[in-house]
Amino acid sequence: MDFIRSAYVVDARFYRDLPDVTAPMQWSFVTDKTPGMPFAHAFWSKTWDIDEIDDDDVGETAGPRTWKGGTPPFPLPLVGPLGIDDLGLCGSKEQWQLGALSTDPVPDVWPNTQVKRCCRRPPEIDRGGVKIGAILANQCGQCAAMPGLLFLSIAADPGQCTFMDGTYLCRWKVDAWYWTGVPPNSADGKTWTFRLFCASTPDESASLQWYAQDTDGNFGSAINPAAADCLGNALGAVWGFSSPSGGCILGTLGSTWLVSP
Amino acid sequence: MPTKLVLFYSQQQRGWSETWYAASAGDVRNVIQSALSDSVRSKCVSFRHPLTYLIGARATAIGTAKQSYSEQFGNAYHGLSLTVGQSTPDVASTDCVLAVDGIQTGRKRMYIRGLNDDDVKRSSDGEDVPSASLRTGLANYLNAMRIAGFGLRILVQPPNGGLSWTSCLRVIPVTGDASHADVITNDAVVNPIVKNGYVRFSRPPFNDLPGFPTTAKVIDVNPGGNNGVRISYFLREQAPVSTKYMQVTAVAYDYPAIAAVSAAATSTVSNPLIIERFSEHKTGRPFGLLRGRARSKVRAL
Repeated sequence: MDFIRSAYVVDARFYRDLPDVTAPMQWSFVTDKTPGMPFAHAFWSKTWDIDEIDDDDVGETAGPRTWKGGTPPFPLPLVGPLGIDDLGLCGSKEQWQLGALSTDPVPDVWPNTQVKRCCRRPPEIDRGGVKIGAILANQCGQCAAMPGLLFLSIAADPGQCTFMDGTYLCRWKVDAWYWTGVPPNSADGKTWTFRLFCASTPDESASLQWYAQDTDGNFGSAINPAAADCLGNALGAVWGFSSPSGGCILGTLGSTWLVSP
Repeated sequence: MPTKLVLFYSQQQRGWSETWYAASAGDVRNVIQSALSDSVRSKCVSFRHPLTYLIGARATAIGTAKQSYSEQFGNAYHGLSLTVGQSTPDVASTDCVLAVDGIQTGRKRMYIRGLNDDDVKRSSDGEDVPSASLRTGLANYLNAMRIAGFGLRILVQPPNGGLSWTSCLRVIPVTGDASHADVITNDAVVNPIVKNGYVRFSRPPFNDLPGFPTTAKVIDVNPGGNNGVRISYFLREQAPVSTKYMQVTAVAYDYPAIAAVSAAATSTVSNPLIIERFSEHKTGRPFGLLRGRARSKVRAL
């Protein structure tokens, strides 16, 4: 958006129909590969023209400039499809040049973030530690919180929700880890890939069933029907359950999973 | 609408800017993409050290519709001055102070940094002598900016440019809130101090008014029936400050074009290039522990 030497936070006017309303505007540094704004705009750094600030201008006000380190307020996606750090552009040219209207629609945000969908999706932040520990205590009962044993990342992709057998099945494949040895419900010593299926209705909690699939692609019968519910909708489901062996798999959609034997 | 153009340069760990103005330049995006053409960009930097890069530029319309457009140039434009022997700058880098004259009035001194050490030699008389290629490069730079429509910004006081002086208004207190400061004066404000004009304050007490602008745009005159002017300034703690030794006068900015420049020491058709002095500075950050030359002053609140 502009060139600055030191990042800072300053109050700014964003709405041309609400000149008395301001909100903090934080400057952050971006990489050299980030493309610039495609058009002129009113939200430039008035550090360069401190004697040009007007009270009714959209953009920075004459308020105090509090120094900030320049770190972005949320993790930035590193490299785009063209090898360019394209962060996306929110807002129309008119909004950037004249200010938004208070009646303009507000874009949705990416799940589990405060980042608008008009921006490129930020990288997932692993969720572990205290939250998983809390779920363990509340949901699994038998399991003790044992963070750090094994972490798996599951991409959150709503496209994996499909309609099957009268219910919506949201599948999140854990295929980066194999549990060698005796699986929970088999004595044949096969190597299993544990696939997690959350059978849920779109708008309310539902039961969780844990299936196992062997290397031949055969699904076993449901293992230990859910000891906990899927809370919320499929995209934000939080669940936990225990296997006959006492292992727990916990987490939210798109989060890092803690697996204990 | 007046336009301000800032060119950004870098040389290894250092960075600096050079500023130009235009009385009216149209859309600021066109200023960067058209007026500041590929040829002009090259002339801005080609006479400097090969490790000096023109990394970007920003153009800002500073009239009533304040828009800004900036662009990065990457490594496309850099110095081409041949270096004999060494390939990197030593601990000192050569700079010069260039005097740039307006066609009819006004003189601006520009600090030209990132020059090639080999382009300046000290003579047996103890005088720093620029090379012919440096003189030609500097002249080409100034003439390219002149042809592209860029010039100076000078402060005109009194604003009518004549010999009559406008009266000074004595400031009593400065009051304010989170968005502006009202500078209360003894007398009511009349022409030539007008809304959207500019005023200059003499000797602001910076201890009481940290960061107070010496020159500011007038947002309102005699606000709320009180004598004085209103400017954009955040008055700390919003408590009125009495100022004994400050006066306010009307000023105006003018944007004269610069005169054509010749690299030769004498010329009958153009002004000679005026290099006032050369200097050398250490590489690294130019002001000790301060981070560059940012105009904003950082304070703990």
